Amino acid sequence: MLRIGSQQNFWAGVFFLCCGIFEIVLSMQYDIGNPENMGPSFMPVLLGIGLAILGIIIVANGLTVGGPGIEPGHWRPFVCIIAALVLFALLIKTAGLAVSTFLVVMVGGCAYRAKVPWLRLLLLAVGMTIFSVVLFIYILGQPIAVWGTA
Amino acid sequence: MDIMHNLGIGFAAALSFQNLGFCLIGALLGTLIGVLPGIGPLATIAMLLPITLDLNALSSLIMLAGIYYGAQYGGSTTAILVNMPGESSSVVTCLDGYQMARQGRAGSALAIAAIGSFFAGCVGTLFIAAFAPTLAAVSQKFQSPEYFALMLFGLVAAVVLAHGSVTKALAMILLGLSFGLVGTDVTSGTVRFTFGVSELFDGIDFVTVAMGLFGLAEILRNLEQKDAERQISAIGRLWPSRREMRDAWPAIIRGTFIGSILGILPGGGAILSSFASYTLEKRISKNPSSFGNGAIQGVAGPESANNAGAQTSFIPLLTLGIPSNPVIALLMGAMIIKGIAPGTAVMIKEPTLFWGLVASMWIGNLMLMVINLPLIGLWVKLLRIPYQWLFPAILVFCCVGVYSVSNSYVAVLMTAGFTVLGYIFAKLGCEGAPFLLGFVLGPLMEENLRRSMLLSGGDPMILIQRPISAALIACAIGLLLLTVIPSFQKTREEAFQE
Repeated sequence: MLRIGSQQNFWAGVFFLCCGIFEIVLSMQYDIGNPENMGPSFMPVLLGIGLAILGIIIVANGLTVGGPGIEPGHWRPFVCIIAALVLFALLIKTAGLAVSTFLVVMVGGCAYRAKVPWLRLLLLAVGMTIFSVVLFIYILGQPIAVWGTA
Repeated sequence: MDIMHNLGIGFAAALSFQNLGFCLIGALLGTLIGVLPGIGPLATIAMLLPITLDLNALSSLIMLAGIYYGAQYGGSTTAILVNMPGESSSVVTCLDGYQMARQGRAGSALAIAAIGSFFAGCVGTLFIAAFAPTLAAVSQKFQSPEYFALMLFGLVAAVVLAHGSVTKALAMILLGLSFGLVGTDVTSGTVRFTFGVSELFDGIDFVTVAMGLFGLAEILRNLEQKDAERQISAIGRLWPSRREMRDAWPAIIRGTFIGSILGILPGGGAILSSFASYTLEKRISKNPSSFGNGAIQGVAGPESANNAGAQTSFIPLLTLGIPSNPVIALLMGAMIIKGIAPGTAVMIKEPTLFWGLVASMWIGNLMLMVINLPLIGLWVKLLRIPYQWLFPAILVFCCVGVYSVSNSYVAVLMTAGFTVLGYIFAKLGCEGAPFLLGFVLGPLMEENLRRSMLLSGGDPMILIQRPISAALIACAIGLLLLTVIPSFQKTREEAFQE
């Protein structure tokens, strides 16, 4: 079994290595040109190679030199915040600002790592909804519908 | 005198009723968000960026500059009152500022920070006015190879002078550069790396990167941490005593000087200068043991240095078009969105814009001092709102902000994507700042490299055959080599400790 000195560095290196390889592979479909007339994939390939090399160095470093591990994540903040953003993106055009704001606060609000005080969160969501409709639509005049499609 | 004439143009532009208003709103909003614990200037600007984009170029830059100073000032307020630095440069302020607050001298500390910042701001503004034209004249000799070498040097310096692992930061720069290349290649017209998403044809929207990586990822990180017990100190008397003023003045002047010089250097000017100033004050003090126990010099020096550095770090951006730190990179991104190519051309082609911005920096600093001291009670109230009720509101503003830039739901999805990316970066111990620098510079570096190669017929040696670019490349390599030397490594680690 391989001993890893620093989980954090090891995986960072793997991440960069993968990014580099991915970039080179993606660049294949474009023209590389030549040094005098650099094509659209010339720079990306250079960067990809650089990333891959640095990735390998960081992996090697992570294997041999001790260092920090990866802090365990908490799924709740992550899932709630991302879900709130995605919901907003998907609903803003079809459901309008009021519904989207309300849901962002309700879903996003659950990200806080404590028992959710539903009633207060509900009040906050209603308050924020009124506030954002007044501010963004009536005061700032953003072209967003309050309800339904713009 | 030329400087006076130029500043005259600037003040005429900046003092218009409208621009004064935007400067005021910017400074207020910047402080409002910046004062929230755990949110530094970078996150503040990223979150407020969308609302400035509807304005004309000068007003939007003036407002952004106002937000920047406001955010920085708000950061020091939080550092002094609750011992929570929003960013690395106010870590130093915490050391003595919080101690002063615990001794009931929070008011003095805040006032000295404001006065020091204002003084530093004045000097910094003069510095820009005096120095920028000279630098701009030099940069007129620059051609593509020099620009490429300069950006290379800037990126390397930003990595070496910032904290964290150099190798990882270099990789982050390369990754940022790569993300910067997404979209239509200007020379060949080829559409690159868009996966057929038409919103990406013009490149990745800068606002989504900034908001995701800095604004929202920051919220995520705060949510993962345990809510710290927040003890808010009482303000006490707002005006420093005569003795405190006498102690603070020399420190303010020294700090301003250090900050003005270090701010020009690429790479975390503000951070470096506040650390340097604190070290200097402690070293020359007759009573070094008072540092860490509420020495007013320990607040006055670094706060002035910080602000002077923030001011002069505009010089490389305005004259050379090179962002010297992530905050400036954000402003550069905003300039590009407004269709201004930062660099020498700005000063020559749009003197009103250039000098107007310089003048508004001074006005912004004055406003901060005038508004913020009376408003301090309000900021303290804001600090009392629990994070649990604060962040859903911030989240709403981020969503609507990103959406309103281009009225596209794709932008919001992209922001979610960059939030995930920012989360991964944080878990892997990679700083987002070098990524942002790379992202902004990506297309520019490609363009200048391409032109250099065309100039030389495909020979990369052109970069070291021309004296200026050779010198810059040598500096970059020298800096990189320095990081390999063990003794330098040690000093670097020590310098960024705490």
